[in-house]
Amino acid sequence: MTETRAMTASDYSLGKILSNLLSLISKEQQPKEESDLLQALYYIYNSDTCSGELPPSVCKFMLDDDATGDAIKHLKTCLQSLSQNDITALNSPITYLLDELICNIQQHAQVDAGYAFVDYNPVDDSIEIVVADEGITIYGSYVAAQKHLELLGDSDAQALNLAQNGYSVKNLPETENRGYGISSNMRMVVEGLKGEFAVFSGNALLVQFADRKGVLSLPKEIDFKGTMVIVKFPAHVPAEFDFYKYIS
Amino acid sequence: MKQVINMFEKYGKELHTRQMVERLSTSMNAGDDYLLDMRGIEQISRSAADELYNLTHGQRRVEIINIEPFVEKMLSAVTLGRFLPRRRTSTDLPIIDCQTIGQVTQQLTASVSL
Repeated sequence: MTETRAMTASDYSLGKILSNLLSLISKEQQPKEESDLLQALYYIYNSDTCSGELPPSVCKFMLDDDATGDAIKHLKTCLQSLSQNDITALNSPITYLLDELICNIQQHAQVDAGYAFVDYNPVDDSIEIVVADEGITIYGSYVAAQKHLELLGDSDAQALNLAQNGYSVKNLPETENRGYGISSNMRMVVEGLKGEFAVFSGNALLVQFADRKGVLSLPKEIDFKGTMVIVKFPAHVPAEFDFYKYIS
Repeated sequence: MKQVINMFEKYGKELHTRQMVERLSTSMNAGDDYLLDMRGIEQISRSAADELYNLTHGQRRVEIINIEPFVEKMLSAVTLGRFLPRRRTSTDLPIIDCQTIGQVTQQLTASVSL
């Protein structure tokens, strides 16, 4: 007889969730755990072959202006209704996060639609957000723009390293006005909000947690045809958090 | 005579996308002057603010008035970004070649750091 145990806060760490996701993908198994985040990630990874309904809290949005604005408002409203707490203090960082990540899809992914997931997890009092696309991957966007090829090599992992370092595919000739999306949000989430940040694109996974950071070049059977940014942070803003530090 | 565009009436209290500002730009007549009244706009994305910078520093005569505090800070941030060299606060992260799922799991969950 199989005994199931209740999931604890440590089961919901981003490292554990991502590890479970990649394990399931490699074994071609479906998720059984009670984690909505894992269900969402698994669905998005397999969205080209999934014909069923979207899992709870996942929304697919078109990338025209009106739809994007509506999607962001909808996601924030969903999050507020799910959370047991007043999350007004998180309004600016969450809006900034969604704006930048959705804008990245518009600018780079070469797709018409994206996916988003927002949830409040009462077990560890955290907010979980995913913004994803089935586009040309981060590596593909550098190649398509013919930017930083001398640094890029031939690996998705190196492309993620460039992205987290703020190397944009669209800087103007005399200025550096682009490339803030992943780098500034990663700093804001990990340093400012004491959260966890991950980017899964192609055959690579970038993670930055409190106790570890790096880019994993994944086994060859793992290859996501797109990009997903996965973020998890406490639902309470640290007293010392200064949002403006991360936009400048 | 300057044409006043009430941004709150046109877009609501949040400006999210670069394309939204680009569309506004293309809807403007080349020879006219414009005032963008930003009263009531409480949130703006960095990319929309960056495109507003382009709009107000390009060929068209466009000014922005009644800027709310958050929007002003975002506009300042993108303006500074135009003139200051990029401070790369991140460094290259270690790249770990994982040949198996077991290695991935160890990297993601073991107490040993990457």
